[in-house]
Amino acid sequence: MPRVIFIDTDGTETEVQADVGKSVMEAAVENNVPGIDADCGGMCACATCHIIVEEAWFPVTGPRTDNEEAMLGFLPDLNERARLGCQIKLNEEMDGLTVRLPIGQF
Amino acid sequence: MTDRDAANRYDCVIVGAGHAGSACVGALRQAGFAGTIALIGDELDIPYHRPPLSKALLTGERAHDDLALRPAEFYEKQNVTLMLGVRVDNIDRPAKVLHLTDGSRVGFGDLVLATGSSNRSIPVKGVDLPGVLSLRGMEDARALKTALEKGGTMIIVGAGYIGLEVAASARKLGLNVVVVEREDRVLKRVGSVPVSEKIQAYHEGQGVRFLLNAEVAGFEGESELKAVVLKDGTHLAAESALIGIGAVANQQIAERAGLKCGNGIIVDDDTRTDDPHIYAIGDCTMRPLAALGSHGRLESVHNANEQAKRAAAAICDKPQRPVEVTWNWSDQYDLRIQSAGIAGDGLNIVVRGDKLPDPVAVFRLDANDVIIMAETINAPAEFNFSRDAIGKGLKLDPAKLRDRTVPIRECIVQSEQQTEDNLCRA
Ligand SMILES: Cc1cc2nc3c(=O)[nH]c(=O)nc-3n(C[C@H](O)[C@H](O)[C@H](O)COP(=O)(O)OP(=O)(O)OC[C@H]3O[C@@H](n4cnc5c(N)ncnc54)[C@H](O)[C@@H]3O)c2cc1C
Ligand code: FES
Repeated sequence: MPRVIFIDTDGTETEVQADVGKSVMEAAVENNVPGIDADCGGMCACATCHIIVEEAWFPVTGPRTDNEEAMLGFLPDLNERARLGCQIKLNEEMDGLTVRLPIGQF
Repeated sequence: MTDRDAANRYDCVIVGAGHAGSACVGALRQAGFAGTIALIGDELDIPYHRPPLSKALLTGERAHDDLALRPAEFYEKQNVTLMLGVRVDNIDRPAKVLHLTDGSRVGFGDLVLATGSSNRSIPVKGVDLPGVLSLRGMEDARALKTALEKGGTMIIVGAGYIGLEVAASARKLGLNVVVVEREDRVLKRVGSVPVSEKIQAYHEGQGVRFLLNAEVAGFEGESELKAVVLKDGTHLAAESALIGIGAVANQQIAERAGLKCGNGIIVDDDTRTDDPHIYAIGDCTMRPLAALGSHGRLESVHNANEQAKRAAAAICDKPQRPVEVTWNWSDQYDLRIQSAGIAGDGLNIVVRGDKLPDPVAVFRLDANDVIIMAETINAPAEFNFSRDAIGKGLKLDPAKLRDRTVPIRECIVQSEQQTEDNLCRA
């Protein structure tokens, strides 16, 4: 099972495990990781699963899709590695995936 | 309290295992609540996503067992006692004990009511006939799915979100669909005129027939529905009918316990009722709505989740976050419909975009061009921008808004700093 590490804004790390095929958002929700509200449950409607992929993992996850761009593009200082957690599906290659939480969801 | 009751006492008890109740469990633990928690609900399934019941579940894109809000292990890991399939009948406030329908009692330190809402019915003849349906929970969705599999004609009574979503799902499955609405336009309670018109036209393009200003007089049939009869005498032959005319708050147990209720259980921004140890969250509440300067009832997943977090913060004595801009969404065919904010009357309406399914956004601005509300269709950029802009109380340029070639971010008139006084607008 891939492990995902969430780094809070104050530097606190939370490591969780989730099945292959689950999304980064689901990994957070199932383990009650603070900072991921995921109001729409992965329907790509809420943008409250916003995370920033750590540089080392960015080649693995890849950049945001056009739809994610439309959802997050209003943020004036959007990080180039910002993604929606519900749109990143975990695979074996992502074991150890490390992401940061933004200062605030909406 | 007897010894037996004492063994059955929890520091926090949540009544109603839906969106708000489930979210409150997570929020309490995130806020550092270390006491015992029980989540009591009268449905049999572990808390599940309701939105797909009118959409992806009906069309077969999602399955029943794929709808859990959080997996069963979540409640174990969070050390929460889940009591499903049992109802709370009475709250004994002086003793701080709940009476359950199975005869058992559960004591509480703090109590969170998350009982949701129930569908309104129509008091007309034949409303109990098999084939006349409504949609709130998983059981209803199963019955509706069976009706859809039968095919034929489905009459949808009420052109609100749920009615229109089921209409879209039924058309996708090839049924003949007629929508009967008492008002003069669809989505009248929630949407602006341009949104109503565009959505109705889109449904018509998909083959749905609308009868507006029309009221149901009764449902006919011997052992099952055969026809829907309207007040003007029209007979509509039908295999099934779905009543989607809104919902009322499940506030009976609160009322019986003497808690203040209006159109919902009355709560403050902390979600507290007039009893300092009893909170209420989600569809069942009548909450402060700063934008309207009054209390009102919201029915949305976002509201359920937001109030769940606020209750947890209040119970754990943690600082509250600013009140969020309320929003919701609906999916119909290839349309993603979203709205942000709440609007009173007398606002200026600005339309951006024209023909669906291309992006359309309808903004409501006050006399100073400050954005108060936005409704968007297939326009995620406009939607997310608006949620942020409403929260900040930004002033927008109507002419630029109307021009879809101007990027949405460039429609702001003043700098974000100048509006700090407007920051916490709900
Ligand atoms: C078909 C459908 C589609 C929807 N689509 C959308 C959408 O697309 N977007 C959106 O934002 N919102 C949507 N909504 C609205 C959204 O689902 C609700 O606003 C949300 O579920 C409210 O959460 P809640 O916890 O307050 O109520 P609920 O989720 O309804 O949960 C309340 C629970 O409490 C139980 N209960 C009540 N009384 C008692 C008692 N005395 N004892 C024990 N248990 C009790 C109820 O049976 C229920 O299980 C939809 C609703 C429906 C029905
Ligand atoms: S969970 Fe809503 S957009 Fe990801």
